[in-house]
Amino acid sequence: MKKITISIIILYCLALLETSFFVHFNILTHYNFYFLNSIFILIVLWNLFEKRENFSGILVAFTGGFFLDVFSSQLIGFNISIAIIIALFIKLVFKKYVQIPSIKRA
Amino acid sequence: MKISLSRTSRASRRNKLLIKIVLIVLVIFALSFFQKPLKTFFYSVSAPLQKPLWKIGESSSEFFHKIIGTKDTEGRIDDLSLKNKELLAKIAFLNEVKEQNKFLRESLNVNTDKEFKLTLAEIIGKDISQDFIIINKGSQDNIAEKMPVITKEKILLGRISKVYDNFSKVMLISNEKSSLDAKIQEKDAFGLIEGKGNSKIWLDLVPHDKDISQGDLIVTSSLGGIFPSGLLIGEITEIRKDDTEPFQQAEIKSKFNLKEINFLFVITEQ
Repeated sequence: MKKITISIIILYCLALLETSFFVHFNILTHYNFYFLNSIFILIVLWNLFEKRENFSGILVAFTGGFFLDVFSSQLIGFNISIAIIIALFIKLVFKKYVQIPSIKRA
Repeated sequence: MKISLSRTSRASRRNKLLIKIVLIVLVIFALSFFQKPLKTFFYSVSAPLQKPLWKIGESSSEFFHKIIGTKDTEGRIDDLSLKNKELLAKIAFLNEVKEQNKFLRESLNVNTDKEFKLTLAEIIGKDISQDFIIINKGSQDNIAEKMPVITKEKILLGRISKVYDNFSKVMLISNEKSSLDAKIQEKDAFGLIEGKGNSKIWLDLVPHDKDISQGDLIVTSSLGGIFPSGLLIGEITEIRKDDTEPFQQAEIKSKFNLKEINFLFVITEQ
């Protein structure tokens, strides 16, 4: 629960940074890489290094997509769907064929 | 026995995942009904943080830009000083025309000066898809959809596309969904300005018999009914003339730079 709360706060801060700070450094968006933003990077990394059975990666994807939708002109649900599809793809398809070490606490 | 147990556990796990996915879909569906209150709430909460972040981003990007751009500075200074001289000569000529115009208007007793009713606004955010900006004025400040947004130099930025209580979204003229009628100054030619995304603007539907050239200024025309006429849009940088096409096209360089704009104006009454 604590981990998810912290991740929600981080995602909110990242959404604020994406819409107010990083837009001034528009190298990636100039080349149409809209989806290469810090929130999507966090979602991908989270789901890559999380165990397949855990559900928190999907929740992180949902929250990240929600914040992106709130601060963009898209309808709420657009980025959420993309983020969840990415998370599910990593969990159900990608990790089935590629072995990635999960982060465990000692 | 063991095999059947593992099969049931696998099936129950699959069912659990399915239930969770269905739940998420339902939540997304429910959220779409609360778009406006949700966005208004988050914008109001985030505005005090977004303003300083926007300013910090602006100053730091300028800093990096200066470091990278020092090589070209000398050449740019020469170009600008040359352009400055040309503009000074043009201003002197226009001042004389203005005086004559004023004299003629007074003698004919005609008042043609256009004054807009403006509302001052500040940029607090930019959409990640780039061709939208968020300003700190909304329906509480009498802002409505389709109102034109300009800079203090009367350069057209775009129009209001969505209004919330304290905030509004401005669709820039470079947005792919944006199109407006425009006039090529001093050429008596009209065309259609279309946004191409990523701050790119194109002028289309200019007849072949109209002679347009690089550096021509494009201003708004009152044909569309949304924008008042005479607002500066940009300058022609490249012309595409193809005999197989019914019209000629031109690439436009917009005259505004969002990084340099701190305040903008919404035309609430034309």
